[in-house]
Amino acid sequence: MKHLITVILALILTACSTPTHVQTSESQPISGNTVVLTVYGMSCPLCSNNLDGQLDKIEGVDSMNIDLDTGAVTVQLAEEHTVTQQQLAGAVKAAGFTLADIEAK
Amino acid sequence: MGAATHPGQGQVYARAMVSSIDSDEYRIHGRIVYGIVSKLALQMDGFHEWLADEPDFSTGIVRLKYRIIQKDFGPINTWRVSLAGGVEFPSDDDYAIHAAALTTLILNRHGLNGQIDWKENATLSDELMLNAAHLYRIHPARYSIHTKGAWYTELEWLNTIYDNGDYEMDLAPGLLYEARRWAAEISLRLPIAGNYYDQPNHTLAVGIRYLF
Repeated sequence: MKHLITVILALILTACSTPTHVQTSESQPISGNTVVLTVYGMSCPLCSNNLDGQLDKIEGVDSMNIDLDTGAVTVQLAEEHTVTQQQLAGAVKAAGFTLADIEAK
Repeated sequence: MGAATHPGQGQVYARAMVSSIDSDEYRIHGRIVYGIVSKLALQMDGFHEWLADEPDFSTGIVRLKYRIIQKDFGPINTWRVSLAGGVEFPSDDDYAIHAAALTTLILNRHGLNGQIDWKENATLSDELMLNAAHLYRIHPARYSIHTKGAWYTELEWLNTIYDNGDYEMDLAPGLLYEARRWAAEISLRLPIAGNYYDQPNHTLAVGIRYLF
């Protein structure tokens, strides 16, 4: 009986515990070579060039493509890079826009 | 007129504008804006006027511009408010202090700018400028990944009220083309009301902007 109670308690504790996700830390290099940022507030072609300028400063960023209609900024990273999500988020902030989403492809 | 827009951190935005005032006076206006951080910019303006019946006149304004509100609520749509303050150093030594609030609202193809600018002159009448502008993106109707530039119509409503009771009210329709790195504009400023003795009959202005 004691064993059964121990097993039930163990199962309850396991079910209640916070699930462990395997997450890439924002300060770790992004795995893969393509990242899609969703950026809000880029109202015009000239405004979007502010973001080009900030992303260009990051070593390891090869190229970028901006779709003003959706706010999707596709960033191509070098084959071997150390670019982090934090750096990309910082570039969006420094350009004066809002980062709504970031997704490594 | 101004807008609540700033260059990115460490970036420089330059603008040059040439105006013909009543076809016998000319003005050149240069502006350089440096993004200290994304919310704070240093703006420097320089003007030189070739006047018909008076000696040439030059002035420079140094301003700091700080963004206090930024609400980005979609890929294009945004509402921003900035405060600006600075000092003007004219060639006639009648220095002035500027304090302004600026707002910009972008909703899809429409853009609205508003500006309240107080200019306190050392000896001349103080001035309150109340300006508003509407921009409309005429092409492309919808942006895409292939968009290299956009055409806008612009209508500015410009008011200067002097503390001696004089005022000027002008309308300035214009056309603006914006590419990714540069822009070009043309506008014609026309008086619609006012009693200011020196209010021009028309001012034709052409300009270019460049983001470094």
